[in-house]
Parts: sequence; C-alpha cells; structure tokens
Amino acid sequence: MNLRNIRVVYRKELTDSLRDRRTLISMVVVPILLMPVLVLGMGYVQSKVLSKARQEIPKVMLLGGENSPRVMASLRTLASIEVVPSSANYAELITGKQIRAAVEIPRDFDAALERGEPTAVQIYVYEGELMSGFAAQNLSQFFLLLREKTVRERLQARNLPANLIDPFSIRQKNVAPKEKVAGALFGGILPYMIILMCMSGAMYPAMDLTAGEKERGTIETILCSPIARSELVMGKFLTVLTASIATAVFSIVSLAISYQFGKNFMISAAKAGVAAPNLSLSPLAILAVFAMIVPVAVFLSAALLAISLFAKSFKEAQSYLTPMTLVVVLPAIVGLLPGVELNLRLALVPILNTSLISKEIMTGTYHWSYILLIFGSSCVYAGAALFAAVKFFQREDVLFRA
Amino acid sequence: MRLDQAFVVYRKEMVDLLRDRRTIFGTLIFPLILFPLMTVGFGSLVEKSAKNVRKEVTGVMLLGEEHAPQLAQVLRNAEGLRIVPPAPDYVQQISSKKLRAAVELPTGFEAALTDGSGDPPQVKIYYYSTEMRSESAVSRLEEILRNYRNSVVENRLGARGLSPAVLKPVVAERQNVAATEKVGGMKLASMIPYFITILCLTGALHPAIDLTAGEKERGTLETILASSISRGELVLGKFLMILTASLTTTILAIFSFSLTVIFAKSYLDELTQGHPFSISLQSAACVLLLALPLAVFFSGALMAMSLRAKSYREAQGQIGPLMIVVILPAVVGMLPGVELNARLAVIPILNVSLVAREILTGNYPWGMIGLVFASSCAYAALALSAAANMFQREEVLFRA
Repeated sequence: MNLRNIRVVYRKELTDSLRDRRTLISMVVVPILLMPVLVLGMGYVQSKVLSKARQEIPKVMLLGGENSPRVMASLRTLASIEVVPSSANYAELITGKQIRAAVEIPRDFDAALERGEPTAVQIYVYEGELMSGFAAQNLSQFFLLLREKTVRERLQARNLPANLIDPFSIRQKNVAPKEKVAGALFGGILPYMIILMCMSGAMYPAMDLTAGEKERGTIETILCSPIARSELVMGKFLTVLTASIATAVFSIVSLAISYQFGKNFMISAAKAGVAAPNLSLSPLAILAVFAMIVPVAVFLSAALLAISLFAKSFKEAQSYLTPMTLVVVLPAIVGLLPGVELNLRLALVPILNTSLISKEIMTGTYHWSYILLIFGSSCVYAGAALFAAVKFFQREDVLFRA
Repeated sequence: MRLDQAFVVYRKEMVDLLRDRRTIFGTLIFPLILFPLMTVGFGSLVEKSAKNVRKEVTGVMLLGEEHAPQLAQVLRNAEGLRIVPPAPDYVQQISSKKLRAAVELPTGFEAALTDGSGDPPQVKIYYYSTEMRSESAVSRLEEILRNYRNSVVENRLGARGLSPAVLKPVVAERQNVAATEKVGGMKLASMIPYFITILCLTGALHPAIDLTAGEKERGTLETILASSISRGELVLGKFLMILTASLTTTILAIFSFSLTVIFAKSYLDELTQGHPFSISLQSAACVLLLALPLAVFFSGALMAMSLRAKSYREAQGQIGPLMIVVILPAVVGMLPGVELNARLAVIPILNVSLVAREILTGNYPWGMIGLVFASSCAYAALALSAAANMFQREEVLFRA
C-alpha cells in the first residue's frame, strides 16, 4: 500500500464532496444550524406553553360546603383559582376540560374543624391532564396551609411548644463537584448524540463514493487507474471518516454554544422550577469520550462503505442504510437507560459498550480495565469492518453486480 | 379531463412502484416492523432496567452513629439499604459512585429528641445530585427518616395525652373523575397523531420524488408528456399514486400498532402507567378521516416541490429540510398544555395533531373538528393545484 496514492484518492474525493451542495448541507449546515434551532426552538415553545398554562387561572367548582361559610369564603377569595357556580355534572365538565377541577367540602366542615374532628375534602381531577393537575395543586396548597394553621392554633391552645411536632429536620446536601453533576445530567445524551452524528455524517458520502460511482458509471474508470484496490478503499474510507467526524464535532460544538445561550428556557422545559446548571463539563472527559468514539466512527464509516458498495444505485443503497440507522440507534438508546450497567458481557456489544463507558467517563469515573477492553473491542470491530470493505472492493461480483 | 385516462396513468405508476423493491420496503415492511419493535422492544427494556434499579441494594454510610443508636438501628433494619462502616473520605466515595449517599447524625441527637425543648437537630444527607441511583437512595432515606420522625411525634403527643389526629385536621384527597381509558389515552393520544403525520409524509416521500424528479433523471418525462393525454390527467394519475402510497403506509402502521396493543399489553401498560387504553372504532374512523386531507396535502406539496428538482438526489436535498418543517408542528402537538383554539385550528399539521388528540381521549368538539377538517381540505386543495400548475410550466419541467 502506498500512502501517497491513498492521499491522492482522499484529496480527490474530498474536493468532490466539498463541491457537492448536499454533502455540505448534511455535514455543516444541518449540525450547525438545525440542531440548535430544533433544540432551542422546542425548549422555547415548551417553556412558553408551560408558563402560559401556569398563568391561566383554572376554573374550579365548589361542591357542598353547607354550614361552612368560613372555608367557602376563603376559597372564593383565593387568587389562584376562579370559582364557578356549581352544577351536578361536574365530572363531565372536568373530562370535557370546561372546568379544571372540583372540590367537595363536607357538611359542617367549619364546626368539625373547631371540634378537632378529622375531616376529608375531595378534589376531583382529570388525572394526567396538565391544567387539571395545576388546579389540584393550587387547591391542595390551600388545604395544606389551612392544616398547618389549625395545628399551630391547637398546640397554642394547649400551651405546647411548636417544635413538639418538629423533632428534627432533614437536609440534603450535594457533595459531588459541579462537573460531575453536569456530567451525570448530560453523560447519557452526549455520547448518543455523537454516535448518531457520526452515523448521519458518514451515510451520504459512503453511498456517494460507492453506489453513486456505480450509478454514474465512473467506478470502472477509477478501477483502471494504476493504484491498488486497497489504496482506493483507504482513500475513500478516509473521506467518509472525515465527514463523519466533522459532522460530530460541528454538531457538538454548536450544541454546546447554543446550550450556553439558551439553557434557561431549555431547562425550565425539562424540569420546571429547577435552575439551569452550567455546562461545566470537564474538557478532559469530553476528550476521552471523543477518543472512545473514534473507533466507533471508523467502524460505522467502513461498515456503511461496505454495505453501500453492494448496492447498484444510490436509491438502492439508501434502502439498505435506512434500516441500519435503527440498528445503530437502538443500542445507543439502550445505553441511555438508567438500569443498564456496564459488565463484561455488555463491554463486547458494539456501540452499546461505547455508550455505556462514555456515560461513566462523563461522571468522572475511569474504569481503566473496561476502557481498555472497550477501546480494544471497538478497534477489533472497526478493523473487521474495514477489512470487509477492502475485501468487497476486490470482488468483481460485488463491484459489477448485475 | 377524462378520469379513465388518469386511471391509466395511475395503473401504470402502480405497476411500476410495486416492482420497486425499495419502495415496497419503505411503504409496507418498514412501518409494519417498526411499531411492534419499538413498543415491545423498548417497553421490555425499560421494564427490565427499572426492575434492576429497584432490586439493587444501595450502600449508605452512617456518620455519627453513636449519637443516635435508636435511629441507626432503624436504618440498619431498613430494606434495600446496606450500611457501610464510616470512612473520612465519604465525599469522594459518593462522587466516584462507590457510595450512594451518607447520613450524618449530629452530636447529641438522641438526647435532643428525648428532651425536645431546644432547637430541633438537623440530619444531613450527602448525595450526588442528578445521579440516578444516588437520588433514589436519598428518597429512600428521606422516607425512612420521615417515618421515624412521625413515630417520634406520635410518642410525644401520646405522652401528653393527645391523639395523632390533632395533627391532621383536614385531609385533601385527590380523586380522578375521568374514565380510565381517557387517562391512559393522554400519553398515547398525543403520540399517535405525531406518528400518523410522520407516516403520511414518509409514505408519500419516495413515490413523489420518483414520479417527478426520478422521471426527469431517467429521461422518461418527455415521452410521457408527448403522449396523447392532457397534463391535468397526468398530474391526477401521479397524484393518486402518491396518495395511495401515503395512505397505505399510514393504515398499515396503524394496523400493526393495534396488533401491538393487543399482543403486548403489559409493555404498553408500563408506558401508560397501568391505565388501560382503548380506541373506539368511532374515534379511529374520525382520526383517519382527518388524516385524509393531510395525506392529500403532503402528496400534492411533495409532488410540486420535487418536480422542480432535476434529479432524485437534488429533490431529496430540497425535501430533507422540509421534514423539519413538518415534524416541528407535529411535535408541538405532542406537548402537554397546548390546547386547541380557533387560531391554532387553522395552522396546518398542528391542527390535525391537536384535534386528533382530543378525539382519541374521547372528546368530540364538533365545531373545531369541522374547522380543522375544512382548513386542512383548503390546504390540500392549494397544494394539489400548485402541483398541477407546476406541470403546466415548461421552465419547471425542463429546468436547465
């Protein structure tokens, strides 16, 4: 194999790809512009919708409450709900979303409260419906406050100290450093994104450089040139790999930047009321994750190259590779699940192993033996895929399939 | 326009398409496999991993055990916790995930509890925020501590001759009034319209490109244009073909989804949190009826767009970004809290998503349904006439 020849092929293919608008779109424009717009746009819409839903004062129906003017009056003056006149078909109105909730106050509620008898109020809701949940929250809050106030009065009436019912307090304290907190939050999703981007970046050039050449009828010409098949494959493979890694790098960088700008409304979408954590991921961990993913990118590039070489036309190649996306994405998603933990068996499953070890690395845990094992096994898979691609290029029945 | 001529075009395209392995795969096989695979495969994985998390015994360190032997005993006896001997480097152990959490009991804890007059002592729980297992250990610890606290309070009240009911003057109970299938439907009802939208689009995508830009690329467009039928008939025939592909994809996917619902009930229960989910025939018919103008709209719009391209690949490059434009409103329709109103009812795609969600949870706001149907029909007609217009223009057909 001659390195100079490989470089010539690589340069030619790269120039070719960069002149193609479609490659540029999938490699540069989509990751840089589309991802942030999508992520931030969705976050923005979601937080807007949620805050609007919170601002809306829910309509609530008061039921019963005979001989209990005090509690009824304080419910009516409650700013967080709008009381509507009661009617018998409240259940229907709630399911029809005309009112959000109804609260049933038992008869003689005020008197029971005064006598110290326990009473129960019913809040009727549409379970799972957002606005109904908000209305029920507001009502529960009201009764919680009422309960606290009553208990305080009762203790006072008996000359008992208030901390009688508060023997000790519980405080939670986070001891993990900031990078680790952010790492646990993004540790699952980041490797998944990188793998997905590696795949989508490699897909188009892989098809274009093999099946596309066949379709355009230029593959014969190239095969006639005085370079070895393996040099040709290596040149093409390096082009696909470049596109794959470039797409991944571009998308991660643009996501990181857009996260810094738009984290506030993005997080309020995911977890209402939680302040957005800073993106204080340790750069070392990100570099380590990238290093772990490089053999995966090699594996994907070579595998896509080999598969699409089999196809006669661009269209056919696409029909083979589309299901491949699912095959690649599923193990990456499995790596996101909370209960899946790295063990010796999973360390040998391609893609899933990288997804899992990246999760560990992002939270600052370096299991060196696993890292070596996974890196090694990914390299073996990558080598096998590359070998298959080279072998395919040497078979005339694959190159000139009827 | 002669319908029989359009039908001839339709039949020809149909034969063409059915011979194309790749399109068959995209329209028929892919959706049939995708739905069961995703629901069953993913459901069982989620179930399994959740079980794993629950099964796991969490290692928790107890600091200052000697200050509260009673509480320490309670913690030691608690299920699902493994108390490890105290070590000074607990902070490090927690952040390296060797330890899930640590509980610190302050000096004089038990004495303060029996005395009860001073300031209440504070129990500290050290944990790793955002780390799943650490957080679940914290919630388990909190539960145990709260129970212990309640028993202490009960003892104190009992010592003074009071019943614990004093502390619970009012109990507010939540009761769900919606029928159970409406509750279960909430989640799925927002996902189904999204899938239907995507499927209508993907089903139409390849035939739309193949029948226009593909013909250009293969150089067969001129031959067809030279035949003795009018442009309108040609467009209609091609359009019907694309529509058929779009609807077939959607219906097959719905069919396979219903089969999944029947066969994989337990996995689906996980998804809907145990609430049964059922779709009545009426609501299914209604949703399908609403999907019809949507499919017409996609077919017409995709045809008009891909006719402008010179080749299959160029058409794909143009339509790729369009997917986002379509997916965004469909995703917005999935968000909780977005509710149908007259303004949203005229936004294409989003309106169908929203009204389908209402229908699937058993609400039939007829006025809105009519408005949505009418507006999406109008959009469909617009897209179709755009496609017909494009076919009349030579500069589009033979773009250099």
